[in-house]
Amino acid sequence: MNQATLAVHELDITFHLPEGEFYALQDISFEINPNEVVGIVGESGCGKSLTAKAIMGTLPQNASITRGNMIFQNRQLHQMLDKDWQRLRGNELTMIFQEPMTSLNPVLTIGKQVSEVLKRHTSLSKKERKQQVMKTWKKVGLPRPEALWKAYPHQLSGGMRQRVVIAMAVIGQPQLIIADEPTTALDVTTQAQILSLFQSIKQNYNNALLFISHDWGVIRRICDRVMVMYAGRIVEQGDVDKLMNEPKHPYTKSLLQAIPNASKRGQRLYTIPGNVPSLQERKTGCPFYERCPLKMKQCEAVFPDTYTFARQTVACHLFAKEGDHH
Amino acid sequence: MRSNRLPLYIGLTFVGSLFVMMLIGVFYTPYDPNAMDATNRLALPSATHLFGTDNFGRDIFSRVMEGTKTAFFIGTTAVSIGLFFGFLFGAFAGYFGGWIDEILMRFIDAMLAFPGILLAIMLVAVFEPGIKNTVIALGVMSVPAFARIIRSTFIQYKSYDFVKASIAKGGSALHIMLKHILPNALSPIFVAASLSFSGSVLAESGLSYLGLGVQPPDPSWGRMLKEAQPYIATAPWYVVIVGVVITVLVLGFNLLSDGMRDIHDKRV
Repeated sequence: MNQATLAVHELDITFHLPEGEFYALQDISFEINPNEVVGIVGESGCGKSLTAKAIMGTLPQNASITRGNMIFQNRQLHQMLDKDWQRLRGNELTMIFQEPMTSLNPVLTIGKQVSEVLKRHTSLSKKERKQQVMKTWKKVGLPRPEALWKAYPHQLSGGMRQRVVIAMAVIGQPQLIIADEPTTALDVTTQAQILSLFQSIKQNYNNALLFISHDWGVIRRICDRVMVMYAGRIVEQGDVDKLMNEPKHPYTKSLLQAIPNASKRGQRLYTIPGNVPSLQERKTGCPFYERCPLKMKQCEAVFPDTYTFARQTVACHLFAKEGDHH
Repeated sequence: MRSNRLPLYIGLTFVGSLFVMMLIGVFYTPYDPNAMDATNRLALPSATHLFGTDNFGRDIFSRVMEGTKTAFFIGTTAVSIGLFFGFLFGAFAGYFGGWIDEILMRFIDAMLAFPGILLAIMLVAVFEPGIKNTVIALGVMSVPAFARIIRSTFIQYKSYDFVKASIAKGGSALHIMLKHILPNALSPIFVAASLSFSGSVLAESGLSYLGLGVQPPDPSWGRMLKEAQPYIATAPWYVVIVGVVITVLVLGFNLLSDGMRDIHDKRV
């Protein structure tokens, strides 16, 4: 088997707040292989974006990695200095943000912003940079490159802006792109176009993609594997089709049950009762305990071990007898 | 609602005409500004002496033109000094935050605690009066205002996604500060610079009036005001003309900054 592009191992992230220390992420372990698309799903506040920030090395000042490690292309990410980070970001590792409106600088031209990556990471001349940028624009389906070079962000539509942002991400040909809900702010038709674009990018650039979303439809369409996060833990991960057809964790089941579809027409849509426990409310047991329809006695006190079924892993006491114990 | 551009245009006219006067003054003045004419003292404004003559018979119009150079020189230099150090303090404090912010801003607070004009008088008294020390004093005086405005815009913009996007592209802190945040902060900086310019000119007039600013033979509006004072009853036009010229420049820059702020606010 090839070596993973990114391997995260038993990662804990702690927030240092005036009230004390709180785990925001606990025991996060996963791998992303070359040319693979991995999704992260979960409700708001489950730690999806924080995971992305940890990989990018842009954790908030009051958060830090307290355990575990991240290995990206044979490098220990959490031991790197600012200088190494700057060489890595944009070049080998980059990120696409949710809001295409605000991820472009309103006072700089599109051409300047996209070529910035090349200016920082390559020794290409101004002319070569422009050619490279226009080639990338063609690949992401942006028309009229000459006009676009001099345009400002406010002159573009939301879909075009997101294409520009994607162009900025792929132009350095990074090994890993992290996309934090890149389609959430777009309308449905544009969303479909951008998703096709992500698929064609994967074929063109052979990069790995970590795709954060809360939309199962998007996840199913684009991802190879998916991780379900709940309250700072990965509760289940596996191949997308398998996991969506045979969810094991009660939380995954509830999430999938909450998707509206034609067969549920006229019925009341299922919602998971309660909320994600906040940082301060998290206890030692299973964080889903309060909301779980299948809760047992041991769930309150002890966080379950992870059990493996073929390529699917799940952290739930229900599977204590069946699965391979870790 | 359409924005009212009138203040901007009036301000531009005032500042522009004085600027043109300065440019002409570099090459040509109707009379030698320092040439005395004992037979023609305190003459009324006339076709030969547009603004009249002073107590030594010197042409006031020529001297006002000479003074324009000093005023613009002092304004520009003081604003540049203030802007440079204000940017250093404000940008680093705003972008990095935390203890860097605390230390830099407490330093600025300490500077603010001194009344500006007293600080200038102190500086000039310790060293020696003259155009160089006046400019330094006025520049130092304007640092806190710039630092605070620049800091607040940097705090505002550093949380924007395009800053995070630039980090994701591998941008260094300095690159982000200069290439991404600064262009966004230009409007408020222009407004502050324009206000600070008029403030500096006014403060220079005040210092020179007290005899602490620009020293003879360098021409200065403030000193002309002082020289005109004894003749306020016999030759009132002298003091009025100099006063009006100072007012036009200060008012011009204030209107300019008001006008620019209005345009900036509209866009937001």
